Amino acid sequence: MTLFQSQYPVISNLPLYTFSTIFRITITLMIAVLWGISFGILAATNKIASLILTPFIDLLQSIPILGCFPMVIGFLLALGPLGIELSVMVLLFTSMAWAIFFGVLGAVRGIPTNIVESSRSFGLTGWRYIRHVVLPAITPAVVSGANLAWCDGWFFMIAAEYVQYGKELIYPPSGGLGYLLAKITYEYKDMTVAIVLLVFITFIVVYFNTLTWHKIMERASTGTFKPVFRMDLSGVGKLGVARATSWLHFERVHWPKSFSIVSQRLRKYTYIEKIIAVALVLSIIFFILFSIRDQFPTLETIQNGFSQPPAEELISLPLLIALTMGRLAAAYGISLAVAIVMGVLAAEHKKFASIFYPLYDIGQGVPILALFPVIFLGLNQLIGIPRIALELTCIVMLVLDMIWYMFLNIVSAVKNIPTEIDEVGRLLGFKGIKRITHIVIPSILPAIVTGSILSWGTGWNTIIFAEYLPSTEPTIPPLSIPGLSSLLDKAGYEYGNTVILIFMLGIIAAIVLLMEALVWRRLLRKFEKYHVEV
Amino acid sequence: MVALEIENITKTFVTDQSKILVLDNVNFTVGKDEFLCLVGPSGCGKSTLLRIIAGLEKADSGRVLFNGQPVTRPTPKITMVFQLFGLLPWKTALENVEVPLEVLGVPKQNRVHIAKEYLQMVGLEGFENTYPHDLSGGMKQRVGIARALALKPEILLMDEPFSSLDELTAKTLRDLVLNIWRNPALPTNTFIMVSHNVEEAVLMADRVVVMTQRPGRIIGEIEIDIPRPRSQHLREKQYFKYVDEVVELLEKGKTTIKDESLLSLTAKRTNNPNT
Repeated sequence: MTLFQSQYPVISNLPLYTFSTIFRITITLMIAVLWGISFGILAATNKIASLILTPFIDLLQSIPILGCFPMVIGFLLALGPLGIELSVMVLLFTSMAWAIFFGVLGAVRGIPTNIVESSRSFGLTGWRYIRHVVLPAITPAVVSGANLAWCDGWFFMIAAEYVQYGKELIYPPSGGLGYLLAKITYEYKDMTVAIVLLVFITFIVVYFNTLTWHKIMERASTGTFKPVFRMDLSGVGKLGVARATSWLHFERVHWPKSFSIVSQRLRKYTYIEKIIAVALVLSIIFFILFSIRDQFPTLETIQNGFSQPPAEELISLPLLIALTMGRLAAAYGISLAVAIVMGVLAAEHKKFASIFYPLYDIGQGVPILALFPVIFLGLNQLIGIPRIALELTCIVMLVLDMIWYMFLNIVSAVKNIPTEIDEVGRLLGFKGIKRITHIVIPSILPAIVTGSILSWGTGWNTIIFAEYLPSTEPTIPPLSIPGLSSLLDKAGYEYGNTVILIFMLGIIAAIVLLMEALVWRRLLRKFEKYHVEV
Repeated sequence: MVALEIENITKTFVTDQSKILVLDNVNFTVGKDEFLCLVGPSGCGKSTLLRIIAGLEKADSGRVLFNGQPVTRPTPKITMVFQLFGLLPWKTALENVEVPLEVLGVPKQNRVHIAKEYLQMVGLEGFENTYPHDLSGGMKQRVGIARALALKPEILLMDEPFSSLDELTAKTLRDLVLNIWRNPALPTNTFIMVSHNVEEAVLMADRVVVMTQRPGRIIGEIEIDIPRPRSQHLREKQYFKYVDEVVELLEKGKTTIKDESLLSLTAKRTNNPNT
């Protein structure tokens, strides 16, 4: 440590930075939990609230949050250092709140009829009903949702603590681990220290996950009211997959990203809900435009925005879309192939499981975004051509991000193939590869679809970060590879062009929603039939 | 003396596409201290009827009079035992019995005392601090019964209370319920039970009300005049005679539907001479 300190004075702040990052995440998590519980219960018990809230929050969460970050900073920068702290927390909040909200919503709606009826018949109404029935019923969902939020928090924290905005470097005044890591990699370009720091961050995340959260979850799930946990998790999703996942028990309890979110999102909306959602989105867009009205006059703003840099790059928009989608698809293909092999092996052979499960533990714990500068630095030293190194870094990051969702879903699905199906396969004489292609793969297809949806969702967030490498010195332009999200980042961070930023966000949101409607929803419906009821 | 009057109850469920008439003009009365059993095929609306009596559901038309007063919402004077028990999984047996007492404003010490007393009565001494998850189905239903009785209701409603239990457990619990009903020390002496088990109904009830298939209507009532305790008379002719009578009514309830749908078909044909 003393050696480091003499070289990098900033290291001496490590305890402060560690504390400030953990503190920031914890405070935001508490706010998100309170918000999620109150609004989740409201949406689950009040029809009008549900009509307004659910589609709105659903749409909000389908926009990659990292893309909104430059905008949030733009708004809050005026408040000075406090504004930066605030904008980091706002970003964190938006990454945390949805999982908890949908968890609570699902759990309240999943309270079995016989409990609802008996409570009503014995006079439990109003606050009493919430205290005796609703709160205990949602506890497991809140805990698992909060854990997801906590992990997401680390993911976004790294990105949020070190941002190049315009010509300025922006970081919260109290610093943070993400800031420290970025500073060491970008400014000092020292791989060794960066990796040490990365291991330190991973250690903190894994430590909290396996110890603190494990304990909290155990207390919420086991012992006193086991069945609630099951009921709660299986009641949420219509998907058999979600149910299967809830039965998965590793050595330690794992709570992957919320499956309820997927099924909630893919739920078909009624006509009224759609209208309300559209109206709300329109009014929000209007509100955003309205609030930036002071910066530029309205119609001119848009014209101005589209005539200022990086507007000239918009001509190649189709190409940019193809490039970004290509990266995502390539990473998805790799993750899918690797995850299927790993997942099937881990589920069927204890030996592989004992290798892959700890790998999963750590892989999930590593804040992927923190890896970004480190991987890039490594690959750049290896290859020597920054652009190619960045291209590769982007795909490696996407794979590292996507693969665990696929892996977890596949393992749980393979483990939950009904014995009957397996026995039929054996009686019919399927062995080896034939067994895999005829029995295993078809049975896990629904899980693969669920995993894919989650993978793409998180992939979009990662790619916004991964196509664009901020530089540390004002004289050197940031490094980027052409793509949708690098253009978005440029518009946001380099040029402060809000119009193009919003335009790009809209395009990404449109692609996400289109894929959902055209690809995922259809696949889900198709493969839902493959699920064997047990 | 009449404890409960069910007057012209009609109930329709509205689903996304269609309206389903579940209860069609149902009328009957329940006497004080009577054990009444509602029997009908599944889906005939008997559980819905019970929920309307409990104040959990609202009828589209008609009313339920309890001691001459209309029932519009759940009241501690009419409590219910549920088919799937309806226990709160996060509360112990004792706490489950306590909660409704807390709603009534019974002070803590008192309600623990009462809850213990009733758990003891249903034979659950020593299981006060056990969570529902660790209780067997029969024990869960015992908690359900203790919870319903602890409020000292005048009327106890039971919605297929034994149908999710194995036969041996069900038999024991039937005896328990009958003993509670006959116990003059307890204020709860009017029981209404929904069942689809004819033997069970004839064994337990003073009167069996038989309902038709959907839409639920009353097709007949049979007074069961077998001396109690009836377990001694289970092999006698009169027992089987009553069982046969109820079954006959149930069969009739089925055929009525068929006849009616045939009738409505022929009616359509006569209305439309072209077809």
